[in-house]
Amino acid sequence: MVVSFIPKIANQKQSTKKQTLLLYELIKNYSLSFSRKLISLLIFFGVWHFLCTIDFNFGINFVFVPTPIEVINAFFQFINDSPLIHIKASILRVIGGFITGSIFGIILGLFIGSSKLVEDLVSTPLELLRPIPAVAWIPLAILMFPDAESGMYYITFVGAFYPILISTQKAVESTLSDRLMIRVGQSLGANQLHLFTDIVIPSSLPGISAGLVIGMGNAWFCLVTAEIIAGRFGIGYKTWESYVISEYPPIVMGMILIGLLGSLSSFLVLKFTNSLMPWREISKNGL
Amino acid sequence: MVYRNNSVDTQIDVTKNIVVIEKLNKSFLFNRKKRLILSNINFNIKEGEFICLLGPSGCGKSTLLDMLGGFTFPDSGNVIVNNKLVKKPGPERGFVFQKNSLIPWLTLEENVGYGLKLKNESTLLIKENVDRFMRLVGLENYSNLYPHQLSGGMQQRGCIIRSLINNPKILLMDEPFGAVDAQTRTLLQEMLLEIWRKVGTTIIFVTHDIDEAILLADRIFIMGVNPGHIKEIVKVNISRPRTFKTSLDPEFQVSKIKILESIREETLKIIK
Ligand SMILES: Nc1ncnc2c1ncn2[C@@H]1O[C@H](COP(=O)(O)OP(=O)(O)OP(=O)(O)O)[C@@H](O)[C@H]1O
Ligand SMILES: [Mg+2]
Repeated sequence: MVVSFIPKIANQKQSTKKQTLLLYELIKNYSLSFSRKLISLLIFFGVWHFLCTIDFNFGINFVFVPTPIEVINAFFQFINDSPLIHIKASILRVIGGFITGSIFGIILGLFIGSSKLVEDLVSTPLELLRPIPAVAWIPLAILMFPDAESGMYYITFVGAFYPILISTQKAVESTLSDRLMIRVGQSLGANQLHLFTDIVIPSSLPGISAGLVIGMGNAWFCLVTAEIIAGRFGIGYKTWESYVISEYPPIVMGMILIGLLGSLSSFLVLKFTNSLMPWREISKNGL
Repeated sequence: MVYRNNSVDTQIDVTKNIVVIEKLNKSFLFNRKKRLILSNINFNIKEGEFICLLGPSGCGKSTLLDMLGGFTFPDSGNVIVNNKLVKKPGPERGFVFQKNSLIPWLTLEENVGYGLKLKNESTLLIKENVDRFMRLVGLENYSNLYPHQLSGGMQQRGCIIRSLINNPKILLMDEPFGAVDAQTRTLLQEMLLEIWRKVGTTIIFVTHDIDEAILLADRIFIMGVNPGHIKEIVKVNISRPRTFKTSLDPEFQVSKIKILESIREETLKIIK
């Protein structure tokens, strides 16, 4: 009854010769883009190292900033020192917050976006809570939840929830503002439920996807904050602890690790949501 | 060959009025003021007729068609299709939109079969019907493509059969060929006439192209402006089947001159 919008590969009949040519083009473009990215990274580390070695101090002070080499050493030390326990703890907290944030954000966003009644009933308190930064939640998170662990889940949840909620709501509203697809569904006999599952949701997917990617990033964003209340484990906790005991290279190492894991997980979310939307074709060179 | 889902109960009764529009007025709010768009529209359409609504841009053709589709409602007067007051959109009134309107996240065959899927028909029946209609318009090799992979003409053919598969009482078409090139358009017109002959549905077709209206229609409703109204109804007495050669028929020229004169008056009104 409900038409699926799960991937379906279009049948493309192409001669093998054409295919190898295409493959060649693909590899060429891919390696070009890859080398560009590599160069940008090298420049980034180069500039950083340079600023540290000349003890740059002009408005911004690099005297206490560890060099990339020191950070790499801190990294190896961390690796030798049972890193998995920290990484696992952090990943679980982020994923837990992200998943609950996604569930609540998407469901509430769909309803707020499509119903004036629900919007009037729930959006005002949500809007009041939205500007509150994650750090400000720490005392309440400690008081409200039975243990530190669930308090930390709550803080990453807050980070993930709002961007997902807002993007979903706006995506639904923009679908509803362009009546065409709704009319198409109606004239083919779709009832309210069909319109929702077959028209409104798929057409809002690009917006929801953007919300998920930002939400995933935000969950990592809030990790250090969340792990301030952690007792012993977590990358954010490690970073915070190093600051407290004035050991600088591990701070930067922790930051970079969070950056890496954060962008990796955002990338995975993007890949996943794109795989739900095989009908879209995005070409950035055709602008 | 006659294409019908349930061919028994849909015998065409040429004496029956499938569409009745009585004393219809329609206005829209424009800068918080009411502006009359359509004034005192009255007409009947017989079952199986091919009607073209012809008129200048902005005269209210789409608005009139939207009311037949059940997307918007008159201020006063009645819109009756198949003896029932039109209250909401439904599959018994097929609609082909002015803009390309295949659902972007469904493949062509999913689009075409969507109406039957909503009726909970079996996968087998859906597949059979979809295949048959796809062959009817020469789209059988494109079933698995997404709309953005199809040309404009293919998309419009897809939209037409997506409506027809629901076996509608009436097919409402809003400038369906407005965005395709002239050559493709001629082919699509011939294809539409061929389908109409086979399926026998009543068609109301909006256009502002005079040649298109003459080629297709049994009767042409010429619309005037300020506010929109039916100015004149021209009967086209050209024998069928009609093809691209029909434009050389003397009767074609007679109709064309009659229509041109009628429309000229309206256009002058707009320019002044
Ligand atoms: N939703 C609306 N709100 C206010 N005014 C509207 C609305 N829809 C249409 N109109 C007005 O009604 C008039 C008729 O519009 P309509 O789209 O029916 O014209 P049309 O004959 O289909 O023109 P075209 O050939 O360009 O498609 C126009 O002046 C338009 O500005
Ligand atoms: Mg129009």
